[in-house]
Amino acid sequence: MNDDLNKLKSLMDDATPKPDHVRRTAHIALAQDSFAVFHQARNAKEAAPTGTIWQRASAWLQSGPAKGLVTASVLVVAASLFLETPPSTNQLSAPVESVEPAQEGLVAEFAAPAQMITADDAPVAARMAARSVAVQTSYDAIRAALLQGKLPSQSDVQIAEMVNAFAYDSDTPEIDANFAEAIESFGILLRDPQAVGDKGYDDVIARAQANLGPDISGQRAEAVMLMRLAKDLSQ
Amino acid sequence: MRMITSDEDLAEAAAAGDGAAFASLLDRHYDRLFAFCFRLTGTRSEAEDLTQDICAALPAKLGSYQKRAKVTTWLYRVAVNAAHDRRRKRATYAKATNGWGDWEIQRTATNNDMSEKLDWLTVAMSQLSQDLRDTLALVLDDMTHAQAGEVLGVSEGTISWRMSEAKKALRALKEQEGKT
Repeated sequence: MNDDLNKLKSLMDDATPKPDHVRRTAHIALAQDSFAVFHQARNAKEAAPTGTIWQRASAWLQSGPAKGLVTASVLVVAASLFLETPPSTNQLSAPVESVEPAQEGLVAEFAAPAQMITADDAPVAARMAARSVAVQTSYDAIRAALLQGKLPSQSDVQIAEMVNAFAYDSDTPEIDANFAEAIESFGILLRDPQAVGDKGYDDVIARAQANLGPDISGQRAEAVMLMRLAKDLSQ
Repeated sequence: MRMITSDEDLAEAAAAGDGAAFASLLDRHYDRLFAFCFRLTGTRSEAEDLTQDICAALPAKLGSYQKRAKVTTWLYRVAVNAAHDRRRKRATYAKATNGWGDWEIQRTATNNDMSEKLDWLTVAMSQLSQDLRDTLALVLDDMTHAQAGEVLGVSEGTISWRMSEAKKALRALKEQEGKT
């Protein structure tokens, strides 16, 4: 190394700070949480039942967590789908509850929660854990508001957090950047519908849809569904 | 005599699902990883955010660890990729700082001498392209050109060329200082 580089190295060594102890501890704890989620997902995948999608759906609908998540409305939509393509062992017998026409399709779209994910998906589980732990995203607040049939309040829409929640996937950086840009526009639209000029929901949805990438967790597809829901609610 | 488990053994055990091995490996390398992140970014806050990103993603990234590969090389590759992701996002949203470019206004020097040295470092780093900064971050961390090439996914010759360019830039800076 010549003198200039030696000088640079010396200065760099002097300038490089020690990590903050509290953050160090928090980061290692985050990594351990992410590690646990990742391996739980991997173990669950190895133990996942095989069979047709209908058999897996029936098994899921009877599972404990699913019962808490699935509303009667969802069952109505699912049942109608079953009737169109009857499985050999249709065990659905939920009571019928009215569903508002405008919401029906949307409810159907949300009928497959994360527990249904059976793809080669362990990295995604880690990302989802990282999102919930490291990024206190406003996404969940927006999702909850939209599913209740109302647009979120402006204070719910933290655009940077939404972008961070969806942007990280080092395998497809260009697609990530484009998708994150669509998410940012979506956030801006929710906060101020006039702020993006001609770029309304249709444009945002088209851009997001064109940049889903592998999306093996289905999170991005779910985000697009939320965009459609927001569009419907805004009209 | 107490045996110390190698990094490679810890990484393999962690990849197989051993949580204690993972925690031990991360604890062993965290400080060096953070320092490397600082050299990549130029600010403490960016380095902390980048390190956090890496910690969150590391369990999934263990799948890309090749058995018996040097852990530091693999870890630095993960860090460089994560840094590139953050830069892309920053370029897209233009809402973060410019790293080395903003460093001088984010750091409070405690005395004039230190301030001058930091100014020189900031000026030097900000004159280099991102590729050269990444390369320098690795070489100044005592990596060989071959190792740096492996981390950055380029040939050893490319690293040598980049270092030559970095030296030229530093020499030019020195000459400029001599004139003023």
